[in-house]
Amino acid sequence: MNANRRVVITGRGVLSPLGCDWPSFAAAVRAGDAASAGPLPGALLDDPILCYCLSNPEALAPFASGREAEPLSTLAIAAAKEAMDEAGIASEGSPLDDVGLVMNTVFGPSAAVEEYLEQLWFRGPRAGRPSRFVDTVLNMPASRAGIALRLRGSTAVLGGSSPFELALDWVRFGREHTVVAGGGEYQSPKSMRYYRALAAGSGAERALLAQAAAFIVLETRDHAEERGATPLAELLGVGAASEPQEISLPWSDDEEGCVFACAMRNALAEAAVAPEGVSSVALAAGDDAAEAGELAALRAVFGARFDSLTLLRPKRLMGEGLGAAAGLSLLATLAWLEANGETVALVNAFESGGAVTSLVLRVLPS
Amino acid sequence: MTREAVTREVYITGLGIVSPIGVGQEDFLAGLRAGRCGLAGLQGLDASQFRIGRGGEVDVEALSNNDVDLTEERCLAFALHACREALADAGLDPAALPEDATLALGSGSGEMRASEASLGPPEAELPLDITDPLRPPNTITSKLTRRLGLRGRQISFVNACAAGAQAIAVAADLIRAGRAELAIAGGVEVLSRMSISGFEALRAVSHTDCRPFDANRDGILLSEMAAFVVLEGGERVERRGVRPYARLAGSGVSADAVHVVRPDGEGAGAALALRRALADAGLTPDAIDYVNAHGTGTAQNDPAELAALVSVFGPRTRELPISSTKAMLGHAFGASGAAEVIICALALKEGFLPPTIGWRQAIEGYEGFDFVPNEAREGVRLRHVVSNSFAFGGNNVVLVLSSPEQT
Repeated sequence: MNANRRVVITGRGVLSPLGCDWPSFAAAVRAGDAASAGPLPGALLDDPILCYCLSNPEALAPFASGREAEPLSTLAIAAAKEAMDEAGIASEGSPLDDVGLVMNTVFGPSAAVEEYLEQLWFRGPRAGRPSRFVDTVLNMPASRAGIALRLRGSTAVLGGSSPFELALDWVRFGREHTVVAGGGEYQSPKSMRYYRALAAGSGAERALLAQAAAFIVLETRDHAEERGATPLAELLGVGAASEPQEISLPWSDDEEGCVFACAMRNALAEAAVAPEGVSSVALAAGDDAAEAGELAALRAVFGARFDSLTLLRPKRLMGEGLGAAAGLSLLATLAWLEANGETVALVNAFESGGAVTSLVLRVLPS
Repeated sequence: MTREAVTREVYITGLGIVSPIGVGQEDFLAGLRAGRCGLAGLQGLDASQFRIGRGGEVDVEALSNNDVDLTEERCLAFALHACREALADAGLDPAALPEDATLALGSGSGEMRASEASLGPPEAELPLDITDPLRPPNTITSKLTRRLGLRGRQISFVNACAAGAQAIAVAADLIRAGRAELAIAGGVEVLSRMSISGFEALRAVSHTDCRPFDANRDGILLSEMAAFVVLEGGERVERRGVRPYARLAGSGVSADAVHVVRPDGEGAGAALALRRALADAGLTPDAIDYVNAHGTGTAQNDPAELAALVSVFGPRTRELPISSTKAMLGHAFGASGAAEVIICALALKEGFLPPTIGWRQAIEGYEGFDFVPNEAREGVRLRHVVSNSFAFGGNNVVLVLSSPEQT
């Protein structure tokens, strides 16, 4: 790995229950505001399914390409464009051959999938509509974002894996000088019902889901400076490990936190940052029950320093964002660091299926 | 852009395959050499409910895992069989794999076949007692990781037809970067009513046979497969004293950024991925001896791919053997790219070119090109080969494989 190639964040974009652009999101995080959960639109009235919905759904309107625009695609386009705008990367004009895209989503365009399957159920396979089928393809939201923003560089669509390790490696290794990376999730009524049934079956209190998309622009520091962009923060290192599960729940049953500890140690080692150099940690867990293993891991990694760490709990403010969760946590941490004059933080993410990723992040002086 | 500061070489040391022309490497290889077609009228799904109802199905009787329910977890059953075969083929004991052994899996739709029953009914009739009704592709990854006893990274790719190839490319990068010593990477896809319905609705499915690069081609035929390879770093291969199938010399990724369904007619995005893969491998176009094409057999994809090849290989493209194995295997989306990597690895090791079966007449404008028609070509010495995977939505992945003797 080329340790000399420094990778910085130059753009941020977010639509979430806390705010539907970076300034309003950051302000809400700084104020410690929590979103309010309500029934998901479309859910049965006698069985309200709670979800943290977008704080301002109207923010999607300018990005919807048609009357029946698939909502996850629209979310991804809007958040990625905001990040590119802040980074000063034009999304119009010639295709951008050296700008890549990495997007994570667990359930993808689930509303479109459910609609298509319901049609199959009632009318059979011959009644399929081509445009609606296209909407169901899991990589379509990322593809639509790439088309809308003219991104022709390396593209990956992840299904439940942190997007930032891959994006960081692509930039560090010189596959791209710039990568737009993040994720999104737009909950649909049936997936919410199932999710709640799964959570109830586990016998524990669990976080509610969130509709959101969160993206950043990553590039080499040299490239950012050459084109006059402002580096906002630096990604110093990443560590990953996994605790494979039999069902797709985005929380850990690793009560001793061995997997989290492994990911955090690897991230700190790659970043060449000692535990003493970290002031804050964003937890991947969303509630008390899920936090036990992660806190045990923090005690193991940070020892006596644990008590002086600032623990951030982004999911308690806005719910479980699934494919968007790693991006939401990273952006919430950035907002916190900037507001509090702190510089280095660890950001943990736990993907459904059992993958743990830990990032070391440093805010750069403005 | 070429990669810098990469020092470790990555080798393919084990192969595992579940396909419509054979389950297991031996049968698969025999099928490739014989030009066996695995595409026929559907048996496992009621063919009469579809407009066309043809495709490539796996003979499930040949699978070894008795511990997986094929109705609920068909993808997992296929993938587990292929992964176990790949590990055994590499001479590896699953209980003694390195701590950082990684699994990278690509799948376009995961266990959709089972999800049709759990997500199809109207909301009020949903069967909420199902253990895991949602079944996104990463569920397969985590279950595989658990059953194989792996403790390193697990990564899931869902970019349609390029997912398996991308899983292999990224896994190789993790080894090059020193993030893992060993990885199992590949893809899996099963036939579902939804995928057949959708592609029939798009009028992308052939009414006859899949005939890539033929003047009268009329579309794809869908299929199901699982294809996984074991990747290991050069030092580890040397230490273990194994003879690898091939070296994964380079990869290139790009997007078309043109249209959600149609490829870029000029093949600009595909050509970009090709150039990047060659640069990553440190090769010039004239070093390539064979191209395993994406070659879907649709009206628009084949000419777009050939335009990309011509733009990279120039006049030499006419002499360059180019074949599509989808006429034998069908199109298994997330698994196809990985299966085609296995085909390239076998071609390098065995010295043969797999054929484009069903080919009769050259696609207009490409007369005289060598599509390796109808019969495998034996006794061929291959140094470096290319495998193309160009996904729905315009995600392109190109891999370069080299003979282990080529440095």
